[in-house]
Amino acid sequence: MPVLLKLRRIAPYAIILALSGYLYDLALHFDYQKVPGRIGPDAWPRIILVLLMAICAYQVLRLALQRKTGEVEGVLQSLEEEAAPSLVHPETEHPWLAWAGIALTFGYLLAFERVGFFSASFVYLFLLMLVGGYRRVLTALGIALAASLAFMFVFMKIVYVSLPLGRGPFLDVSIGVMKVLGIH
Amino acid sequence: MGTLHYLWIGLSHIFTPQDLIVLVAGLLVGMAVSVMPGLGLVMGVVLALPFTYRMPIEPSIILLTAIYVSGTYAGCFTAILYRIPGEPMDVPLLWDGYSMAQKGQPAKALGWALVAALTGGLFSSAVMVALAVPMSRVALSFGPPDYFAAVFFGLTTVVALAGTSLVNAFISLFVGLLVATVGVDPIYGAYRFTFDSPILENGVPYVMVLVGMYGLGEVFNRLSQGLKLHGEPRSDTRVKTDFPSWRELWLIRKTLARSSVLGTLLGIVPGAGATVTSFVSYGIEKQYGERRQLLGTGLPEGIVAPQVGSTASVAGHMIPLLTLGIPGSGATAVILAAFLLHGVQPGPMLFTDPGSKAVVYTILASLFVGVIGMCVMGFFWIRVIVKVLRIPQGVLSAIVVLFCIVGAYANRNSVSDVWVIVVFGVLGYAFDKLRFPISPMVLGAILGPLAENSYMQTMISYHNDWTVFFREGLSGTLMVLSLLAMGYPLARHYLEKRRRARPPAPRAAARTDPA
Repeated sequence: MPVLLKLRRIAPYAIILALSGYLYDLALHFDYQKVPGRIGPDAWPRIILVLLMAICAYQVLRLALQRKTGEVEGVLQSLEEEAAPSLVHPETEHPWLAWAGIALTFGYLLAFERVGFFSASFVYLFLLMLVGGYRRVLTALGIALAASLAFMFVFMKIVYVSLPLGRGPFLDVSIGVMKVLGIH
Repeated sequence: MGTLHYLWIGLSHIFTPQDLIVLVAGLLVGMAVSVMPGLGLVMGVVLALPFTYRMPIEPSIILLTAIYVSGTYAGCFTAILYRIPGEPMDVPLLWDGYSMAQKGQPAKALGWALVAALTGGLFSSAVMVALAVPMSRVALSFGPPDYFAAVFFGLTTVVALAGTSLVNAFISLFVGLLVATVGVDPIYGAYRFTFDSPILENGVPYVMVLVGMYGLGEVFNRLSQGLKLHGEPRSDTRVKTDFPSWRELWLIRKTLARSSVLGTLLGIVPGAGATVTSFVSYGIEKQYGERRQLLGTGLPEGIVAPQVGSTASVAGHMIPLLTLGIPGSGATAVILAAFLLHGVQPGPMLFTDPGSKAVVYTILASLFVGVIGMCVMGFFWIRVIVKVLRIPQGVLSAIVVLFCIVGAYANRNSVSDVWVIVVFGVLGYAFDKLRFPISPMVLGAILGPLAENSYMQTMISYHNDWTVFFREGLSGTLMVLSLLAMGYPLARHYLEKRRRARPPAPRAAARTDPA
């Protein structure tokens, strides 16, 4: 196995191992009133972290030593893979689309309170539809508008959730929309 | 007599306008989400959760269980008609269901699926009603070691069942258990892994973990796959349901009985959701069925077995939830969240108070009515339901993400909750890419507090003697079962390895030798 590929396979387990070590150290320093003869609030997290570190260390060593022992599969996975491998592992992968969706979602959350629910959701839905491969721009704009209005109506008028209205000009837009929808 | 009396009261509650409306709405939503690949019944239940915040408890749980039960049925429409399984549990329906449709009998195949869902659903609901009170009595005698052992059993079965690798499944479980420890510890009041952030002081609500991992994570994952359907809905397909005759039904009575019992029993096991029961029921039919050699060519048994199994698992799953307060699947975890949001802790105490007993029996009665209702709707509205497939995937995904975000925000009007679900959404996507199964992590986050509390109580009561888990009768049995559940995939792996390593028999080798 090429070294780079090996490192790529080991990396997730090594990262989890390192993080677990750090968290274990944190657990050793939890601040609490000790009761003699009783286990403390650090006991349970430490048990989990020791098990997590042990299993990650095992996997790192196994991959590093390139033992051809194979993976022990869960029962369901092997059933599904035997049944329909193409459904379990799709042929095409476009990770950049997922990352674009994640970036858009982070942007939406950053704008959520400043821009207000209606305006932020309208732009977010439109862009997410484009990322999702929907290419009818005018229809996408119409759906984004209708969905933002519908969400605002359902959650503010029926479920009584006070969604963010935004600041400055966005506040005026949100209040205008609320008037149109009959939300007081 | 008491049980039937309460069931009758439950039935009378179901037919009040409010409960009936949410039941019908739940059935429709469940059918719609199970038809769409990439949505599924767990996401349907997750998306419906925010609507229950302002509802009384009874209609809230009815709505969610209706989505759950009908979510196990409607996926058969698209699997049989278009070879598009809505969920992994519908995959076994492709072999005989789609084959029967290809032979010019799509309506008959749909009829078999309907009868199977009806039989499995009604049988397991009846078993659930019969078992609920005895199980709750047993649960009342549970001490902390028994509770810990029950949760431990649930977690180990989830690990044994899920994932491409047992190691990854364990890592996923431990991460989930660790997430559950974040926040202020309930016994000592110690701050654990809060990093001085006020958001983390109250811990990570497991509903947010669920919404993030199952909702957003799934959408991000499908975005990376280009949001394509594995198949094409055709407009020329005859969308109609034809019932099998009584004589035909009598011929497959053994399949119906076998799969109903198997589905219900497997449903009780935590982690063995509708997908496992569907595959196992089909597998058992393939091993023990009278016409096992012909399975896969369009036989009714191949449709009936998986469909009965998946629908029967729903009521099976409700048994540990209602009697022990232990959810065994993603959908029942959301139902537990709905209970807790209304200040009700499911468990044996639900069966002692007459007020809560009426609520429980209304929920049980709603399963009977729900199963019948979904079959009626499936019969009359199948044409409308399969049209959901025509909604562009890009549009649907965008709406689902917004539902998740607004749903998370609506819980406490807090943007920090939305950040939590997005973080877990990204984690869910990363888990999927690295082939770490999601269900152990989610169940770890849900059952973690229960496991820790019962562990701590046991350690305090028994002076830190952990052997008590193995010494007590019930907890000892459950711990041994857990070890067996963990050992099964290992044993299976090593037996398979030995079988592969074994040199071929001389006669077989000679036969394959070209010389």
